[in-house]
Amino acid sequence: MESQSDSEEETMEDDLSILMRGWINERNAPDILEYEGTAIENLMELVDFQSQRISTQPTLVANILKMDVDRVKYLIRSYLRTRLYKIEQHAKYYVDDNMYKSRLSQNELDYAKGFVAIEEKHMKRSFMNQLPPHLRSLSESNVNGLDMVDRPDTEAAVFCRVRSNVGEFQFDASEDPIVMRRNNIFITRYSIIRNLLEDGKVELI
Amino acid sequence: MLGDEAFRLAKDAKDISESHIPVYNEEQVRLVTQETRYLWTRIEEMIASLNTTDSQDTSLNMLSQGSVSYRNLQSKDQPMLDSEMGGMDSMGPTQMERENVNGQTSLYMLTVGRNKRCLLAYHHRRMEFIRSLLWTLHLAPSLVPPSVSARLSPEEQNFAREYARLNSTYRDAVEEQLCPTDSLDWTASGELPPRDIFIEVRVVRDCGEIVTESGVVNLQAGTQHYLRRSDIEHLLTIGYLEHIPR
Repeated sequence: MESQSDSEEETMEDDLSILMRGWINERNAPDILEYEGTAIENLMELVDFQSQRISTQPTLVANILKMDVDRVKYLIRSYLRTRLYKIEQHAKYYVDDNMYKSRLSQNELDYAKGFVAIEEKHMKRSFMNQLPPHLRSLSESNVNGLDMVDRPDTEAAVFCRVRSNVGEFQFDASEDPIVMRRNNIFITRYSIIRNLLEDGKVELI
Repeated sequence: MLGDEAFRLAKDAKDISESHIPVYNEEQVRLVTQETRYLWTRIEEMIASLNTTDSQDTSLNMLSQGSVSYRNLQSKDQPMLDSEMGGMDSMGPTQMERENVNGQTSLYMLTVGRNKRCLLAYHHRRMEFIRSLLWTLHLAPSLVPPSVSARLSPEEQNFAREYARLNSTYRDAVEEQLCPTDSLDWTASGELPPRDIFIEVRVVRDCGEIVTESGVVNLQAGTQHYLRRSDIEHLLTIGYLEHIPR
């Protein structure tokens, strides 16, 4: 019975909740997550519809509708801004990695490539071209164990809340599995629960 | 001492705070690149003194990729001469000379690597500052106060313009895709979701006259107004107007 009501709730979740959850997840996750393209497009259609209604309504109702529209736009703006910020942190890595590349929207991918280009151009103009040719690489790997290209820290600690029962889950290889029930809250390393996050079984808080 | 110039650059980078950036230290950057070029020339010379000219380029390539330890700089064809002293030069470098050169080269290579890191870090931190500054100014490079832009190098000013352009291209593309007949109000507040329709504001800097939904308003410095948020939000977010909470 429990799992039936769980799946019922999930299919009934509206785009606004999906985007809001995506927004909070994005703000808490160390790396970039899947782009909620469908939710955004649906919401913008609603916004369009709602905006057209505004002109035919009395002032008080119009104000409320406008507020609704403004708040949705704010959410979308903030979501996109958060993603851009995260993209800038590890632009080169995301562009070169196939999995991450697929998580960006086309516009974001163009942005990431453009960003890498202007950064490199700036470095070259400022001092790289004054260095001997052998030293001009911007993607050396394994110099004293360090990579020039920065990766997101997937070992960062995160708080997560369970959305649907997971049952027994192996947090740590050396210890017993722990039961994850709906609305439980855990703090753990991101890498351990990232698959659960992708499947929507947990959300970050 | 080796690496002092890079250290000074690093200290300069440390002085960058949320609201303050020191003047672009062109002189210091020049000194670091100069030291790096000099060291690299010395490294090339020292390798030449050990190797035959054929393997010289390979060694340099392997060095700059960091994939080779400094011991392997020695050409493997050269015979190892255990107890040679200075007088028998014509048979190649002595073991002691090799070790000498290895030590020197190691030191210089490490310094070169560190110089490069410091240069990159310095420029990177300044770019971060520029980016976050632009975001507080609606990504309009023209709104950067002259006192700040005077502290940026010409390349940095160029970077600021290119960054702004990159973002406006992105925004246009997004709006094109999502709401061709509407806008996403990019200049509205990025911090908080809107809560009030109308807000009380005080004018901090002269904004001249603006058109609101209820007519024309003259925003002179020092005056207070009760206005619709969406009309003046863009002035609020860049600090020309000040919100007066009730």
